[in-house]
Amino acid sequence: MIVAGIDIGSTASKIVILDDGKILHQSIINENEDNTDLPDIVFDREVKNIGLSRGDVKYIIATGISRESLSFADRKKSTSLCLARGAHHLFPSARLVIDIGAETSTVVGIGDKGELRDSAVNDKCAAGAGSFLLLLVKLLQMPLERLSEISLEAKGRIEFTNTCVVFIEQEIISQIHRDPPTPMSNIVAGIYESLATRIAGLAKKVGIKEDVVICGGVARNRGFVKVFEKVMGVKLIIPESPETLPALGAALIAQREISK
Amino acid sequence: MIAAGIDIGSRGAKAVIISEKKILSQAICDTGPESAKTALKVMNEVMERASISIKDIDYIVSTGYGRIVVPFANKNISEISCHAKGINYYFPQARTILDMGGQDCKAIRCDENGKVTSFVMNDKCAGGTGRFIELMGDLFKISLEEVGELSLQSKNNIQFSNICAIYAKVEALSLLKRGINKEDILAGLHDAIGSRCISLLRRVSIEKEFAISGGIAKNIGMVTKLEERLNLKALIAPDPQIIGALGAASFAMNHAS
Repeated sequence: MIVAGIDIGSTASKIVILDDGKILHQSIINENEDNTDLPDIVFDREVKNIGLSRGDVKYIIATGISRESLSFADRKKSTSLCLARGAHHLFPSARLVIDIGAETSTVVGIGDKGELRDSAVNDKCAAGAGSFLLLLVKLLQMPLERLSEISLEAKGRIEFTNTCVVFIEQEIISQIHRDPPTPMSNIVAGIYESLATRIAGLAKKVGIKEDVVICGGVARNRGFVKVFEKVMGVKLIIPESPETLPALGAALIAQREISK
Repeated sequence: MIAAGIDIGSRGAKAVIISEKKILSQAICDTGPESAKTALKVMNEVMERASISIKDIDYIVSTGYGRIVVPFANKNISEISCHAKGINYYFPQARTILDMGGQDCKAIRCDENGKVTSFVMNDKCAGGTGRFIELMGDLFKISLEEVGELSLQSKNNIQFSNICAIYAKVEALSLLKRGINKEDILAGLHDAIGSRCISLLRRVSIEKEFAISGGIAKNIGMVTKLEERLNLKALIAPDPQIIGALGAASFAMNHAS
């Protein structure tokens, strides 16, 4: 039986297609200027690519911040629920999952049986979400791959006095224009510390309990993960495909609903 | 007796010279990277305008976020006190003051002497400060004056779901893509900023005699929005941006005499 989970985020959509519980296909579709296709068209294309037709997909669950926009889903489920299900499936020992999205960070506490215990969300402030790092890519004109490594070379770090990303941007500019300029590695390390502290604050609301899984694209940033582990005081588990964890959770829920 | 007040803000530096109760001159310039140099620049300008030299001034008080680096000041006083004092110069009846600066926003309660009785401020989040409006001006490539005026031409009410300036910028762009016009988007943004200011004001309680100071008081769109929402007429000085410096000058006069 083929089912699908679709996670519609603020900047990218993620699709996971399962066949009898096994991952048949997963993909990330970034939204940008050239890619404004409707989810309908995108989904049909994805299904076609793996030699299936829409009719072969028996059940679809949508999740993510913009899940309501997906008209063809059979059901919609909250991101928190999908995160709990996805994390429990991959790592049965997981008790906390932290998803850092572009505009939303979600922390979910998981019970022994994989049930959703508690959750906390920040979707109000860019200082505690992935947008912060996207801004950095623009400001420092540094590709994401480099951004992921550079803080590992830092010999110190800048302590930012501001919280708001808008104000930190100015602090960064003044650090760059110092004479001599502050090393880029120290600036990036300071930013990671600032973001990590904000998200750790969110995690404390739920209660930090190991094992802790981190997901979302930011989980691929080695430099950030290292700082975040230090701030949280735990070792983090990173899924092989950190972006698609909520979509996987959605697909797993679809699987269970259909076998009822 | 001649006294001067100098206000080094996050975006602009302001200076005022007074003789007893009369304003002799005033000056505004952009805050540069070095506050001490900025202070010197704005001070020279204000003295030139009044045709006086530094030795004619009996006392100088500095205020604003850069107040401790003003080398020639006799004393520094917090901008909260100075704003209340400055508003009191023009409007002794004012009891609630909203000061909207370049990077922060303050709600102040004061008594009939311009003495601060309570205040709250937001300097943590750019949403709800002048910086937010500046960002929006950049986005639409229009000047700060136009931002306010354009917003007044709006005929449709757009509700913004975000207060974070970063998110609101993304939201504004997507609204623009959907064909919503600039005027409506700007009105929605002013509304969002207004909400933040009002919740700050409520924490000190809003009295009928209500004044707005700071550079944003020059934004007609923002002032209109606040007046509508509060159902009050705001008291606004001829140049609301120099209120902090004027307050500092008034304190300096008290010290001089």
